[in-house]
Amino acid sequence: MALLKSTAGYAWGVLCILVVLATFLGHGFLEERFAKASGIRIHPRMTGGEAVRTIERGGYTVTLHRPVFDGLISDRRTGFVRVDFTREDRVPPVIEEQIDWDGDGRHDFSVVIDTGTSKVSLRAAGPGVTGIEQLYVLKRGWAVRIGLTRAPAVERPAQ
Amino acid sequence: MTPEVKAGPPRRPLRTALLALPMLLLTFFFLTGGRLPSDPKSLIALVVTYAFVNVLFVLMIHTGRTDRYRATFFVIYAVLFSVSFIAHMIDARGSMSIADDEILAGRTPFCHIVITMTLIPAALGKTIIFPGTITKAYASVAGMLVIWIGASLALGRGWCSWGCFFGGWDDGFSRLLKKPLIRNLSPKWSYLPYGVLLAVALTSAAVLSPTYCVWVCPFKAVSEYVPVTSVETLIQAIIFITLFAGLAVALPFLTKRRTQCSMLCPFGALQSFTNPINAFEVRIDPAQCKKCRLCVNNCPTFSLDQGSLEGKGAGITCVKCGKCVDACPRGAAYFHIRGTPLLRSAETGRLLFLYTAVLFMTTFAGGTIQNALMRIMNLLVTGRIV
Repeated sequence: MALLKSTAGYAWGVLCILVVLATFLGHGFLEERFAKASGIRIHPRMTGGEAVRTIERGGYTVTLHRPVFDGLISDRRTGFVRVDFTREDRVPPVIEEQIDWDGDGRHDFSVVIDTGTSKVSLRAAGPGVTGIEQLYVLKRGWAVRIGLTRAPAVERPAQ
Repeated sequence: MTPEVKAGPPRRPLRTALLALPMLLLTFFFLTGGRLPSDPKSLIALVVTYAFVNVLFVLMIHTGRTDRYRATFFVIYAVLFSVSFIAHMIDARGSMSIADDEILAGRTPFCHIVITMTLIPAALGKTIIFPGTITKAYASVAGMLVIWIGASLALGRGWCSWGCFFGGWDDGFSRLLKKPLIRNLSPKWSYLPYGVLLAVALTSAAVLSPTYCVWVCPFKAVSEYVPVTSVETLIQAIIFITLFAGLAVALPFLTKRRTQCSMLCPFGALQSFTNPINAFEVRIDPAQCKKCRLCVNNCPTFSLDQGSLEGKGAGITCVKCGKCVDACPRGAAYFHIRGTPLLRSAETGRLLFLYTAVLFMTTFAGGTIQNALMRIMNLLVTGRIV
């Protein structure tokens, strides 16, 4: 028994060297396999959600991302929507863009950007818009995260 | 009866050469990737790195000492990592701060400490709460996770002495004084990282943001940070610099302990749980031990206590640095492979451990060291580091 344990112990020690070799020799392959097998992805709170609409304005382009309410397991009541403004050659001194984030045909808020100073302000046009959560000043424009609160679901009266 | 073992005389040169030969070949293969660079600066950086690693390894084998040579590598690696990383940031972004473009593009390098904050969201929702890239990028998420799994299987918490690119800072400062100026630092502080681990794991999952990176990480002071543009970012910068100065510089200097690693780091706490499932451990032979407590007093992470001297082995926080092994005048402390006979297997255990650890360290750190050396040569020749 002692001999068996000892042999297994030394084999385990040697295996550790092989683990190091495999980790670095197969790093690219293992990285891909690990990503695929685990299905991990970057959380939408980090990426800002997928882009869903792009509007050319002449002088700048507006990209609207899907609203992010994603939580740890299920959606949260609070979230944000990210709007990117990509400047082109002749960007106006002030950009004012009306955004309809929920696609109901009515604008929910306006974002105003002073393109000279990168000062951004928000005008809420409806409930559920809580304010500017984050402003990113980029090399080629701006990205704004507008905080949102989901309206509580209307409860149906008991039948 | 256990044979008495003392720190023996140096090995014979031929035996040392034979034992080191596989490492010489393996490190050559890993550092060169099978071909030598044609650019003279790259070649110089490669030769210096190769010689540096192997001289230290040969000295470990020849003298029977581990920690002093490991620490030489580890401390230099930490400094050169910062040189290489910051130069890389300046190259890519123009400054060592994280630009908004980089965050939105998911190009923030993923460091091992972030793993502690991403475990719960990854387990529950398969999502990573970090603005990085999953694969095929500099310090990608999946790439770092693969290295972490490999390191955990091969070294356990030995990562903290042989792999971590930050640990060399407090390790280095803890070696500057001959004797500690503060002696009565309670070992109970070593429980704190578990609290930090729990706190950052839960708060990160709650707010879906890596809270330790955003608010605590002392190593932002020597890597990357968000530029100070508001009161919030100013407070963050003050915290980063204060914690670095306190835990990675001042306290290690005064106590001769690795205080950042043993009193704050949540990754160290997480890595402690991988120690019991690792092949290598540090043991103390009660029959040889004279209870002088040199090992206990020398342990930089409070991993040895009375129980360790009575044969229980080092605690799970042991970083396998080998300081206690070197410190013991009677050879009672030694590297051991689980399952093998105690003490009699000490030399084989140490050799297998050193091969695992040095190979890991060289492969993981080699590229960074070469890159830093090239940038330093650039600085000397052209006056520019990038």
